[in-house]
Amino acid sequence: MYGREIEEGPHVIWYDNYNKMYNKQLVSMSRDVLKLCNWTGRAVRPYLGTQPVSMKVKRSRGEIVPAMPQLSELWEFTEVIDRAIIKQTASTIEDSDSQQIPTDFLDSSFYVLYGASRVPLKPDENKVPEEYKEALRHSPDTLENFHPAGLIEQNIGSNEGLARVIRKLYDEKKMGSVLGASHYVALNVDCNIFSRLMKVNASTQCVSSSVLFSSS
Amino acid sequence: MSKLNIIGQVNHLFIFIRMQMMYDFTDGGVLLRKYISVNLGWWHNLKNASEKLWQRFSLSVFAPLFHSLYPASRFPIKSRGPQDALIHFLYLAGAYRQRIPGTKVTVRDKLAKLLLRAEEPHSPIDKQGVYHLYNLKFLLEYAIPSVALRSLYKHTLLLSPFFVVVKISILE
Repeated sequence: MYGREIEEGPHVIWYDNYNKMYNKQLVSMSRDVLKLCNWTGRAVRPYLGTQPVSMKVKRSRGEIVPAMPQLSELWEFTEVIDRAIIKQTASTIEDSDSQQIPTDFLDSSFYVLYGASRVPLKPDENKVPEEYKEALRHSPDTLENFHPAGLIEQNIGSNEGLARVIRKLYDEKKMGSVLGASHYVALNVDCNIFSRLMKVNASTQCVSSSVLFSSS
Repeated sequence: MSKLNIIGQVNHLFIFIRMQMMYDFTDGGVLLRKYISVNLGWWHNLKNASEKLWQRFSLSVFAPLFHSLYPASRFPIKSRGPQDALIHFLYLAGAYRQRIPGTKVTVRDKLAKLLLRAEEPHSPIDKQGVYHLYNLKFLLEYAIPSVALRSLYKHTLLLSPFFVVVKISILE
């Protein structure tokens, strides 16, 4: 199956830097030339589930249902996550004060239970319960289902490059047209790109005794 | 030339809020938010947490271990990639449950005995040694199983690397 065929059905798109591998393959080129080869790789992975999934844009009362939450919803969600992390961390700190490790995970880890002792991490098929065996044999996360779909001559590692790559996607899917895009786009990215795309650095806490400056 | 003048002191100041592309102030990301769903590849959580763990325990555990395993080699403080860090985590997890050569005691049992001994009134183990023992226990019983060995497959545990990162940040 080719990238174009996959993109007609439910799929996710991967974007990542393409500079490191290229650097190793062309050792004879001068250093300055290699520096220019900071490209972006694009790949697609098809949906392999058995339940039917549609990525067509949905509407509710005439309005398009957005793929990402609105800012107000995001705050609520962030608060829930924050509370969960604080609760978990607080409980571990509390226990650490009494010099006890709160949860000994080793005995219940997949390393002990299912013999997950290889890299990439994967349990031993002979040790997992029957219900997981089929999923393990199927291995939907292998490179067999990962299809390169092109290189973009932009460095997604830079802010300008990221903006250009996203703009390209924006134009390709006709998001700015009168009718709008017909399908949602699911992007999978690494930490760096994820942060620069949508990280929200915010704090509403107050600071006391701060000094204000003015320029003259 | 401009000068900075103090014009007042305030007791409360709201910290600057910065939002990136999708949630920027100009609301230019509305269309992006409408059609694009951005997801962090779960492998990258694991990668990030592994690197944090490697760096946090490099001075006390991984650097001495590395020099013992590979004499005359340069220790990579940033790790040579998540696979490299993970394979060392797995070695450690395996060795931790094995018997010490020539004895019937496992490393785990020995660590537990030392921790008990450290709590005795006139223990020969000094404070620095006690901290080191507790750090080792934290690493082997909690952090490595959370990051490398527990966070797989069960979606309810996918956040566990984050908890470890948070805890490591607090320890620092």
